[in-house]
Amino acid sequence: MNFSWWSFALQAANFLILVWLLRRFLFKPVSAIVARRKEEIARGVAEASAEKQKALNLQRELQAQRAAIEAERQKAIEEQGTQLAAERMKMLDEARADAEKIRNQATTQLSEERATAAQELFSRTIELAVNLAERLLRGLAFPSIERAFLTRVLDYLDHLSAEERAALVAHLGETALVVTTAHPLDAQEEAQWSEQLGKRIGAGGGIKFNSDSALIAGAEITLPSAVLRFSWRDALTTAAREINRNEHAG
Amino acid sequence: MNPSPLQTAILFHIGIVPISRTVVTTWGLMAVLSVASWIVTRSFRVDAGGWQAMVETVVAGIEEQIAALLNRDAAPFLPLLGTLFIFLVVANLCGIVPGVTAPTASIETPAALAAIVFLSVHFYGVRIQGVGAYLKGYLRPNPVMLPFNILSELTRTFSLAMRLFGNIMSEEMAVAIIVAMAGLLVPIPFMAFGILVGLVQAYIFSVLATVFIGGGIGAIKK
Repeated sequence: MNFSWWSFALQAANFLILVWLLRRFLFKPVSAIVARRKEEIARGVAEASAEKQKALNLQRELQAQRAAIEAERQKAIEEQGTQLAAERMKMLDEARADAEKIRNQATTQLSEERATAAQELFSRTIELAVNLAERLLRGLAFPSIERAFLTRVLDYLDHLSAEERAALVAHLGETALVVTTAHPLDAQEEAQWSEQLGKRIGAGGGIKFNSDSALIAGAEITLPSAVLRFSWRDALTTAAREINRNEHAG
Repeated sequence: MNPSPLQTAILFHIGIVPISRTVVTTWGLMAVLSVASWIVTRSFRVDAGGWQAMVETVVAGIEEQIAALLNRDAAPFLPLLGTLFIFLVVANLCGIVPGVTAPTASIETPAALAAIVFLSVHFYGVRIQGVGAYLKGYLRPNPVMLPFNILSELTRTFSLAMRLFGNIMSEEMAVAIIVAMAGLLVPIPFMAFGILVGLVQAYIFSVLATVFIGGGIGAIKK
């Protein structure tokens, strides 16, 4: 065995050259691609992290929007409820007012109708009473009763003052005095009426005599300026008027 | 034909420089490794394919082993130690190719590699620790140990070379003797065993070189 220093030197040089060659064609490309891969992974991780953060931000934003929408919905519901309650109260108040108004109107109308009915009933009652009284009085009204009424007429005229009598007989000479009785007077009775009336109020124009059974009993003396009524008809009419007036006043 | 298996066969001369079979084989291996590396790495992509994944796995595995032994970033040491391991694997295993003799079966190749490792220890030690701090390492644990430390440096380099040379040369010689005595098929189990020996020796040489450099830079206690 011998040792070749030339081979030793050449092998050493060969190895150093191989170190350079592999460093150039193997280790550097591998390190570069590994570094590039790490860089891309890091970039991918960073991008994923950014996307995740973006998604989280978006999620938070959506949650905030959802909460805002929910709050707005609740607020709208509450406002709507308040508005509906107010409108309901208003409608109830209006309905109550309308009902009260209708009730008042109905009450008023009912009262008026009741009053009218009562008035009609009362008037009808008075009318019936007057008719009843008239029928009763007709049964009592004999022709001879006219003399009693002549007495009442004369008594009335006797108690008039001078001014009242003057006013009563004014213009009497121009027209005739009309005496209307319930029963036709005979000649004697007419003469008696003419004599007595002529004594008290004159009657220069003459006296005319009529009869009207509607008077029931009594007489009416028609003067130019007034009509003197002394009959049961007038008494009944006056009584009915007085009763109605008292009823209305009450 | 070589008169002795331990004799270096000279194929030709360049001037006064004799070119042996070992050197020519080494040139061939250098060419194969360089061209293969260039072919594989020129089409590297971020999404690695089959070959790229295998190459990256091998390189990353070597880098992790170096980093694990040195307890530091392996990038500055990767070209030297990585090339050493790859070259030794290829050089040790090329002997199974008929007609090719493993370069590491010649004493000059392990000696040259051991010499480079020896110089690299001092280079990295001085570069990383500084001259003073590095040289002080030879005085520890006390100055009396200086001659022994120097002797240790020399003997471990010598043993590094001789271990590789002895194993590979003896394995090749054994296969050659068996082929000569028993024919063609009988040496196959021995050749398979030779593959194992070649891989183990490449690993041992590379690990020891890493440990020596680690001791030189202070990463590993001497």
